[in-house]
Amino acid sequence: MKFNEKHEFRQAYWVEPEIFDLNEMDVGRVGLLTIDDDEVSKREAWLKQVLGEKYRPPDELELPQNSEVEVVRHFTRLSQEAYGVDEGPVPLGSCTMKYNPRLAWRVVTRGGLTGVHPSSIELGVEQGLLNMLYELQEWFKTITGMDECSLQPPAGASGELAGILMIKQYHKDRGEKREYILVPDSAHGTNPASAAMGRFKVVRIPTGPDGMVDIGSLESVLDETIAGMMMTNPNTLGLFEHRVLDITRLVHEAGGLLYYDGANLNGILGLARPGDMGFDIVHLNIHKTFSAPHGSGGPGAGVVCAKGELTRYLPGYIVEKSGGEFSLKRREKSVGDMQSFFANLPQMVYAYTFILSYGRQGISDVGLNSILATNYFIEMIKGIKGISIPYSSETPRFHEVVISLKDLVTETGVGAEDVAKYLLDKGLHAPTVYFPLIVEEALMIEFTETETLENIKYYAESLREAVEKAYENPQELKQSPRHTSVTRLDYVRANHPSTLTPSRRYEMKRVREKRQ
Amino acid sequence: MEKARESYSSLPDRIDEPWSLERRLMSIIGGGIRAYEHVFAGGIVCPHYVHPVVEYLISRGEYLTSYTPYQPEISQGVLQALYEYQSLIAELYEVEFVNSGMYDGATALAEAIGIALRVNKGKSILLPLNMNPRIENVLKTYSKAFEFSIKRYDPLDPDSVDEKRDDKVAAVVVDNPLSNGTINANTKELYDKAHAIGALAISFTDPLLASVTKPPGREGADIVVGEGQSLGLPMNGGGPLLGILGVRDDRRLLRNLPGRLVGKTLDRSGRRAYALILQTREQHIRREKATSNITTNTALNAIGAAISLSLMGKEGIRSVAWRVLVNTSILMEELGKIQALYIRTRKPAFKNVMYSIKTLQERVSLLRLFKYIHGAHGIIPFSIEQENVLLSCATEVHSRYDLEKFARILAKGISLVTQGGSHEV
Repeated sequence: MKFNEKHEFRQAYWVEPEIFDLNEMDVGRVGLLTIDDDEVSKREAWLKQVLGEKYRPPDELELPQNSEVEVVRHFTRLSQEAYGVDEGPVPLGSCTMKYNPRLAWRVVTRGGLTGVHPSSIELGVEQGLLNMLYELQEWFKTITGMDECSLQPPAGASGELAGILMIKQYHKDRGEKREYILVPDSAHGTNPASAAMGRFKVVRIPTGPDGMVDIGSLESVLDETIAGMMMTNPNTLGLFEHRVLDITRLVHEAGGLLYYDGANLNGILGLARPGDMGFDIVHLNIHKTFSAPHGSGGPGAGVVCAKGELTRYLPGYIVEKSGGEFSLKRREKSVGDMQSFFANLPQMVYAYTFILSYGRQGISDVGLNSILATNYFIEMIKGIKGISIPYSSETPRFHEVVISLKDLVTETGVGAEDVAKYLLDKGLHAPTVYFPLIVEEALMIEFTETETLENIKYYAESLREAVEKAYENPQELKQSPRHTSVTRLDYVRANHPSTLTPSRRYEMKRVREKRQ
Repeated sequence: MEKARESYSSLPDRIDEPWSLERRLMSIIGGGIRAYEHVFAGGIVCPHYVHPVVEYLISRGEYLTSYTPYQPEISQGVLQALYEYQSLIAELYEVEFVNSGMYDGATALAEAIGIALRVNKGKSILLPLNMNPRIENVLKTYSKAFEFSIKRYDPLDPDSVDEKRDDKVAAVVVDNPLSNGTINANTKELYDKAHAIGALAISFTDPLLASVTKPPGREGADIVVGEGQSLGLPMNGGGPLLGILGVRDDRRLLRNLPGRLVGKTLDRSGRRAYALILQTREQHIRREKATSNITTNTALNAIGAAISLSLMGKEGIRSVAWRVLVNTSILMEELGKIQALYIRTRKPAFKNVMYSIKTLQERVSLLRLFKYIHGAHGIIPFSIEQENVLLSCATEVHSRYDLEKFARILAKGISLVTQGGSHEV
């Protein structure tokens, strides 16, 4: 046990005021420069004269005024009320929260990417960076089994949108009107959202009792209106779609294209390649598989790769090498740009660091080690009352496993959310909850190859403890978490029109309106 | 499996020692010009001072390595920081609802158009003539998804909006400054004109400029968009940046706002607490009915912007904006002295100065000039926006001396390249 009764986890709680309320005396402070009254009057006179009627006076700008040390303290204290991979395991299924090598971050900051203007890359004077991007393109081609990659999309969902637009343009150029995209019901929410953004209609393909795409249902919808299918393999249940070659063949025979959602690629690194499975377009999540940090929600990076004829539609730029010189080129039928410039570069530095530090052999073992982590965990939780592993329970999982607390909730009233909150009290991050939608009371867990066996064991023991307590004293779980900065939140208050507070400005406006 | 492993043979060997790995990485990545005062290239991205406090705080693992705060009890710090970001930007633009960040200004603008297309019947949007081409490229990509057409108006002539009355315009995009750096004097008139033809007014305003000029929310913009890099964030070679997106106090606009939104509430024991709100707008709940597919955004940069705004505060941001304005006017003057230049920016201007070189028309000679100045003087002189349309910028990081020296170097470079004398470089 990592924490015993005497040493329970406690998260910091600073009762930290909002940045607007930090300077109680409301005296003029600034954390950036020394500004005296002389400067202020000179500045305001100048601004007034130059800007004329567009001038905004200082008393019409409601920004806080704090000294540098107070800003450092404020955001340091807030950081202590957060929990990332650097604090402990974050086994969110389909999120691949692996270790983010500090060495890469040092190279990003000390290497000075901060000061690189995009023109230096575009006009070719940053040959070193272009060289890195070129090598990454080559390595991603190798890893995915595709013919060409664009590093431009700023996130996985952006890669998906690029893929959807490529599919749209491809059919349009062939004079075909195909308006449906197939998406398995176990898919990530971004897949149907991306298809809908591209103005396709989404057809949901059900999962069969074995946890795989139901081939019969797939065959029944395939016709000349199908533009393509988006799927991930291993799927979100952590199961490898072993009939993937049949699926890709059938969709191709109907004239559709296949899109591979790379969110789950970590489970097959070194074992299989999307290109060999018959996919036409693939996206990679650099912040998942290739160790870039999640940054509290972003930035990440997507990379989109394609095969054969489809490479002509790739977004953004491709780095080309000619006579030892690297330069950026566009593809002739490119769907266009997914963001203003070329790629999210710090994230690419992580991918580069990751691949060089693992090397060929290490990369080949990523999939196997992530599978070992998952199945070690499954062994540890097998037989716990109230927990089941729906769909092909005895089949080993790949990078992740989805467990169902359906029995637990029926027998004790304690559900997935309660168990997740209890895990927070153990100093652990919760798994993904209530996803995929095809599993009731789902907890979706992915440890990745960088998690230690001790932590996986502790996680399993904590889960067992949660379930045991649910049978003994369900109220205790209903009241968790107790050791985090705050307890469970009032979501009605958070979302109700009369109490909704998405900014201080809105809050003040409501206060003013109430007074009147 | 064997096939996958076999095909991996082209992957590199492992570098075992961290010192060798760092050396390899630094040798390939750390080579270029990295001091911002040597960068004059302009456009959407310009050099701004990245305060060590910003760099230090966003390097903390709690921010850097956390996931999206879906478990609010253990993520209050991230949520409060993002709430503060939303609140600070809301004050700057004077709107009530700001989401917690999009990829960059261009994609935020594309999503703003998406909002307009959902709440308005129109099928086209109006862009100013000479919109920044990098932003326009992204809009064109999204137009293939959202299926809208792009039409133009002249921002110097607000009446040109009226002429599009019959085009079922969903939104009019108003940029400030204009892509040539000139401060847009017609913002209010343009927002009004947009409303008069039944369109929404989308403002694309530099957040730093907004600290000293009448904010778009007050002037009547419905949706506000901006590129947040201007608030003291790294250039990163162009990505990641920070897309600012907000809407005025209107429930329909709010329901259609894509991306994550943090709100304030209470916990069970009555403590002030923060959580992701109105999640039914998002893909993980609504799937194909979501407002957007956006998931991963640029939260870390939003936190960085909140830290930077907190450091600057009300006085600091105005002083930074003032310095940018003063320096831009110095740059305009200095460039104006170069006979070979045709200046395409009017006063007052903010950050960017647009110009053409009369004696060098072709891209190949402009590239030669760029490489000459880079090679001989260690300066990144301009960005090439279109054929023979260049942008240089002046910000708070430049001194008068830097700007004068840059103009001298540019003039010298132009005459050298014009006479064909830079071939050896």
